[in-house]
Amino acid sequence: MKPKQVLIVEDDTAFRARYADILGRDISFNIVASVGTCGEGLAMLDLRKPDILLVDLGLPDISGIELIRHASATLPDCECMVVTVFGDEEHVVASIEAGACGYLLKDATDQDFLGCLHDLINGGSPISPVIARRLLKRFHVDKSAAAEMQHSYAAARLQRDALGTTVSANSDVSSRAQNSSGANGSNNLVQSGDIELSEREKEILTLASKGYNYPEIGNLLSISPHTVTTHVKKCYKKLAVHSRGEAVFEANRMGLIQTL
Amino acid sequence: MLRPSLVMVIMAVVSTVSIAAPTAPTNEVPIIANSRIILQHAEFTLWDKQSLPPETAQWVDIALPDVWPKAKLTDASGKPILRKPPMLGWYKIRFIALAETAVPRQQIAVYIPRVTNNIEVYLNGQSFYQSGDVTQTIETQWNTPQFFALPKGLVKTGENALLIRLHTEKHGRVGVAAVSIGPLNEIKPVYTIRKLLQNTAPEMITWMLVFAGIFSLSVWAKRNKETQFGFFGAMCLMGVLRLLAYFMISPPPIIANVAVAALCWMSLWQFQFAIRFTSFRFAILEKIILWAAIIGTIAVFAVPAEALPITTFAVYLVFTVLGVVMIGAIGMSVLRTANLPSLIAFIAMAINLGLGIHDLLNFVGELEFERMYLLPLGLPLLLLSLASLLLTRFVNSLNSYEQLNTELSQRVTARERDLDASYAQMRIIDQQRVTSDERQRLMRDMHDGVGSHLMSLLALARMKKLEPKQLEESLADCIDELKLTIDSLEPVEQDLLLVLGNLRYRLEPRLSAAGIRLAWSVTDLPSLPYLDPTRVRSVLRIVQEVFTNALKHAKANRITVSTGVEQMQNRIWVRITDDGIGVATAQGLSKKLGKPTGGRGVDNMKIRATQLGGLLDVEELLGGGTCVTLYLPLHSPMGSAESV
Repeated sequence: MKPKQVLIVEDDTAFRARYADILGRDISFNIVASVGTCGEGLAMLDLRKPDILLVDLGLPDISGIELIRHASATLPDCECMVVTVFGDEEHVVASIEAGACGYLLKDATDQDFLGCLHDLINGGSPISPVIARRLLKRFHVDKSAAAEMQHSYAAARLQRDALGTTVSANSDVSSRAQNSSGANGSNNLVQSGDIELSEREKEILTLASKGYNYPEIGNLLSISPHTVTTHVKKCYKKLAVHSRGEAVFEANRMGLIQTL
Repeated sequence: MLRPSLVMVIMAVVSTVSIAAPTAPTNEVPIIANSRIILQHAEFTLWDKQSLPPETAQWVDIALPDVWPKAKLTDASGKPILRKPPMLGWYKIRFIALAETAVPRQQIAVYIPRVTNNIEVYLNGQSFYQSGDVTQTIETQWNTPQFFALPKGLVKTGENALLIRLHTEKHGRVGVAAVSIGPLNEIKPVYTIRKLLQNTAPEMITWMLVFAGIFSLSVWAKRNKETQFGFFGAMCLMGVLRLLAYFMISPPPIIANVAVAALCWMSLWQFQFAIRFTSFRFAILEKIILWAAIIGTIAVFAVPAEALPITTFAVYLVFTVLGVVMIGAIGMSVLRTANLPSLIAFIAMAINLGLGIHDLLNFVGELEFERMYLLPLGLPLLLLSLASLLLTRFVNSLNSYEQLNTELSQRVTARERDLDASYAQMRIIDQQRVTSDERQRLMRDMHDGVGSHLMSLLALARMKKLEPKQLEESLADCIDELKLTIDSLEPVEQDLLLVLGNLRYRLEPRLSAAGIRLAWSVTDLPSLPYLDPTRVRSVLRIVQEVFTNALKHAKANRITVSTGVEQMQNRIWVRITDDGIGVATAQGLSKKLGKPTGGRGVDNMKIRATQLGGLLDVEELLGGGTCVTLYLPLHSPMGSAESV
């Protein structure tokens, strides 16, 4: 199999050397570039189009989050992996929202490091209980907010229809235009409905939040640990889409308020 | 239509003698044609018998208006006829009705502007009209214009005789004004206007005064300090008593006394009302008026009937003089203070004084007999002063209400600002406190954890005693300490399971690297409301310590973590069991665990558990292994974990 092209963006030269050392020992990976700033990272991303992006969040110029965002927007097949010191919820969730599908701890052993990378290219992601809980909460809260929003969409359309019966043909056209834009708005809602978590995903995240690891979850749900980890990765992707959708949705809602 | 009637009104008020109508020539029987004729002559006789006076009675020619005390009559022989009430006086009026006026359409009517007593009227010997009760010996009818239509059946073509029987009263002023005769439609409008001004208007004004009086007295009853309303109400009620006499058809005789007394008190209270618009007081004058009113009232009720006219005159005269003085006093105070209500009151009183003087002159007969009494018509002017008083009050109270509102909202705004400021202040203080708490906590953490680790590491390094293996372990410990701090800050939402899970997630790579299997058999735990970062860190320290012991000293192969709730004991537990050689054995200590001598690590854990309000139980298992159970209360622990 062709080795995965890896771009490393890390400002600490010691760690750059360490990554080079670890990855150099594995034929599955090939480092295409190893740079120290986000600017260089962006340039390399466009130039080399790597398969894997290893990025540190605390870069000197811009946050690594921007790099992830750029990568997931321009290179859909590129897997982004964040390297963090503590794997704390705030940094990790921000990365996942930007499009990262996994994270590595800087103090991980060489073995763990490679294991994680392999998991990643095999379609799996790690998850800590706190992050699992956070994901569950995000989807749950947003779902109830979306339902509320849908309700106000319906109310707004009703109101507009009631007005539309008495206005002239000219404004009828504009009202139809508004209707279609309203329909677009609800399409977006449907899309954001599409990226809701499946029951299985919810089960997995719930168990993960209680401290069970992948093999245990697999046992409990009678699936393989690998399936569990791919589910988790899907959850990450959904969160990223969801956060993008949220931005679109917000914009739409603003538009709706203006047309009202 | 409006203009002629207006002119007529003015004419009627200024002088009740119409100069528009032709007057009948003396000693000639008038012919009733299409217009009104004013008769200034009639035949008169005194006839006290029940029957009608015959043609043969002693009829003398008299001029109209005929005022008994003034007109001296002589009979045909030149002998004076003495007219001294009570007597029945008879007036005969002859007129010729033409065939075309008498029989068909035109009805003939008669109007007499003023008759001092009730009358009974006969046409061609037939009685057809009574103005009031003519059977009483005393009757005080004195202010009603008379109007009657002649019944068609009684009117003859040719000469007719109209007999008016005047039922005089002993002490009154007796008289009959000039008689108007003519077609009904010519006569009636003149009468209607006179009636309106003389009787109907006073009656309406009486009702106005009743309502105004009740209103004012009600205000006064509610607000005793507002004496002005009290005086006005009293004045109105006196006005009512005064006006009754002006429109009652057959009032009781006492009405004459009441009317005079009422005028006294009306003047008094009117004055009291008016001067209260200003701050001026006229103590002596007020006393004089009060005494005048008291004496006048006693006088009119005490004097014998025949002295009533002269007493009445005296009272009127005194109050006219006092009225002039009052007007002067009010005028002076109004000039000095110049507020609108007092000015209006002054003008109203001045006009009324003028009308009162007019009426006094009329009363003593100085004016023509038909002259109306005008004072009743002036009383509504006083209502204007009440209205202006109320208006001023109302506007003032609205203004002050608005001002109060403005002030209130300003005060509220100011208070809100103050509150906002103090809230902001409190927020700042709160924030400072939180920051300072947080700083203290972190300081403590750094000091006890990473700091001390790094220090000992540095000491070892300086003594050159640091093996690479030891260095790696120590650094890993440092990072563990840091991670513990980080993890205690994660949003765990009082969920202990999440805390434990996260710790497991952290430790698992190391445990598996050491070949230890971790069995995770947890059940859901209720949320512990007291789990703040500090307490989370305490729990983490305890559990991490247990794991570390199992990892480093106990040589375990398998660790089991389980949780549970004991509702009865109001607590939850976390149990960590390993299959190692046991804590006590590992540390080479006594098997009697739980004692203070039970090793520093275990002791520290126990202290931490106690500080959390819980309990740590360490149990050596038969056949090897250790079971450590941490009990934590369901609700807030008594002791604070701040000092951990």
